[in-house]
Amino acid sequence: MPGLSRRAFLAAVGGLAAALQLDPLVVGEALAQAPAPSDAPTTLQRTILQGSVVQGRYRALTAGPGEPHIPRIDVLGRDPGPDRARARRSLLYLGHLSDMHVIDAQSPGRIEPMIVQDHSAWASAFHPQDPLTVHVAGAMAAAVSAARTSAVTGAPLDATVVTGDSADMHSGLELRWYIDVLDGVPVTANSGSPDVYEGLQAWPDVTWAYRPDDPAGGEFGDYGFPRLPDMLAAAIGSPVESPGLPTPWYAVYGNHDTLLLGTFDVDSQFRSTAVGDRKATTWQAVAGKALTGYAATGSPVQRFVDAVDTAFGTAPGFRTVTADARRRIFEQREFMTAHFETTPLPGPVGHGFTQANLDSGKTWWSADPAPHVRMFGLDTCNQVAGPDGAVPDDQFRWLRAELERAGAEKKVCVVLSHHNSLTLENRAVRPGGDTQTLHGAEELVDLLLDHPQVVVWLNGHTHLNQILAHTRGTTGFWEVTTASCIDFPQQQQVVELVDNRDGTLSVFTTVLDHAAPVTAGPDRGWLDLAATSRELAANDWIETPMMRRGSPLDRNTELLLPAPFDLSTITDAQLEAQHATATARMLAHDARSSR
Amino acid sequence: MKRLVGAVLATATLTLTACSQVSALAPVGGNREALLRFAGNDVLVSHGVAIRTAPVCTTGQDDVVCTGEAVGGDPIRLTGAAGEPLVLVVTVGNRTLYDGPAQDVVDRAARPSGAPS
Repeated sequence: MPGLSRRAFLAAVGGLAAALQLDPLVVGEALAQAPAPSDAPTTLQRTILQGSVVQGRYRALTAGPGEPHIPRIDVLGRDPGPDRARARRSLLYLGHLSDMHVIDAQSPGRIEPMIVQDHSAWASAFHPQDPLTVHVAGAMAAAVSAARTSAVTGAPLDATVVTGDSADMHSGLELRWYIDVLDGVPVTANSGSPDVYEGLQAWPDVTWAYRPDDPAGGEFGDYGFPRLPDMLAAAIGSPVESPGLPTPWYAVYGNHDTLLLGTFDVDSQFRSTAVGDRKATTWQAVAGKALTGYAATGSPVQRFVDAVDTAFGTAPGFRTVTADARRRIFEQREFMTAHFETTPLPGPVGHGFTQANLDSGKTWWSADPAPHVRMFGLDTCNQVAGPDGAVPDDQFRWLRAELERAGAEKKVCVVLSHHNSLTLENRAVRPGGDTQTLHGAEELVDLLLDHPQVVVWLNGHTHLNQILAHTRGTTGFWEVTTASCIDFPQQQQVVELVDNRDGTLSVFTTVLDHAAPVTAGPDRGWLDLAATSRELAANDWIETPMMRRGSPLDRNTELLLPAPFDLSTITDAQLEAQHATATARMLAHDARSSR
Repeated sequence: MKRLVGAVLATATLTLTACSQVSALAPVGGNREALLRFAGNDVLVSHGVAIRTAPVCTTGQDDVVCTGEAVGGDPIRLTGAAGEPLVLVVTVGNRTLYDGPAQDVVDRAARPSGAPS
């Protein structure tokens, strides 16, 4: 099948250069190069492993060998063709981010002290690396940008998807930081006081937290967490200069973007606390004040006394901090509207959400990241309570109709959601509220199996690398869950759909470590702080960090399945035009970044 | 004292009213099934087992059992009985490839080969 003719090539160069305001010679030179598999840094070249004990039980990290792609044939059900590597061509090359959990650690709108009540149950309320999440997000954007050329086919990155839990505690500031980092806008991860870190980890009496100035006296100190006296000041001292994503990026809701701590409804008192100047330091203060909306519902008189106590600083278990209106708890719909406050390129403005979403309130979407591929961004989050999710009936019926349409249009389909098939059984409803059916994992998997053009379902939520096969007879699809940016291993991935030209399709998954060095350097630059975050996360024992790496079958893989339809109907010329567009878009991104 | 009673009552109410939610807060994904599956897969890959179907797990009241199939048809079985630590048994056909703590497998896989535990 012929590729682009000379005339079509020149037309593509001219059109892209004009559309993206680039020098045609630069575009032409880039597009004339034959695609070659990239050796950019991924876990194909190097992994990050636990190193030796530094102190107590605290271990450093060390570089380990790379891991090749492991072929998996669970869905294909037979040996793959031995010559497929010679013939393959890329249909879509995609970045996949999830569970970034960007945190404003100084905000009063957090409930960290709950770990004292039960560290295991409330582990997600506090991590020792909480002040460094913007740094990790920036380092992950840098890793995706570095992996912009496929290590399998040499194809350029077409798009990036974010499968939820971007803002940790429903804060408008966290939401803004996450969008800015992915857009390549510098972010200083500070709020409240402009020059003093006002958070639990800076206060000597908060011995239950990891205090980098002096960890002694609590369980983090007992474990052997290091003394890092300049960490907090460095965290807020200079901006994270994320390069941003070089591709259009798309987002879906996660449970943390829907409920408080991904689990609880948000009440008016918590909204007030978040923008106030009193930060709880004890779990009794959190339970008695900040969480009253779903804890004690005292009498109106008691509530008045409590409010006065809090307002005048007489309530125990609180410290005064600098209030910051930017910490406002966002409304659910604002998650969508915030995605319209973005740089126009690489776009798309709305990042999957459209004006129709804003008008209707529907929180799910479809988009074509490439001419022959359709993505479906679902909202599987429960609106009432609980971290896990389900698919509401109106969305389920929409998906069924859209999949049928996509099948008729010969689109290869990618499904995106926050929750995975092991966490889609939350059918909590508000008494007297919405009564529509909530569909669980079994029903969703059945629906996807009804449509063989669905080849992969990308999701997150459980903060681990995991790949599951879903089969029915001789067809099926792959479910790919990525780890998070908050817990170790702080890994995300790139995913590529490849036509093997033998009646099979391969989904390549390649795990990315973020771009920070394995060990932090002495300068405390933002990438060094991201390295510190990863090391702290690797020692956060309560999160069972090593298990979250998954097995080799869950990391770098080639996931084979039957081609969903005759892929030869997609011409080489069409794919070359797609790749030319993606390449030129990244040239434009680089040109913008250098200005 | 009044404040203390208030805090205790508030906490008790939190514990009672939100217990199902609090239990659901446990570190996401960190369960026995995931640990068993990952450790079992690590054992299979390190022994060079050619896998036709990777083990699919079901969790009973106490036990976790995962079954799969090797290329060639031998059944793969991962089992983890109740109790701490979680003890993993990996069999392929009649061969037992591993019988020991699942966490040990995960920890070994996360460290350079030859590194002390």
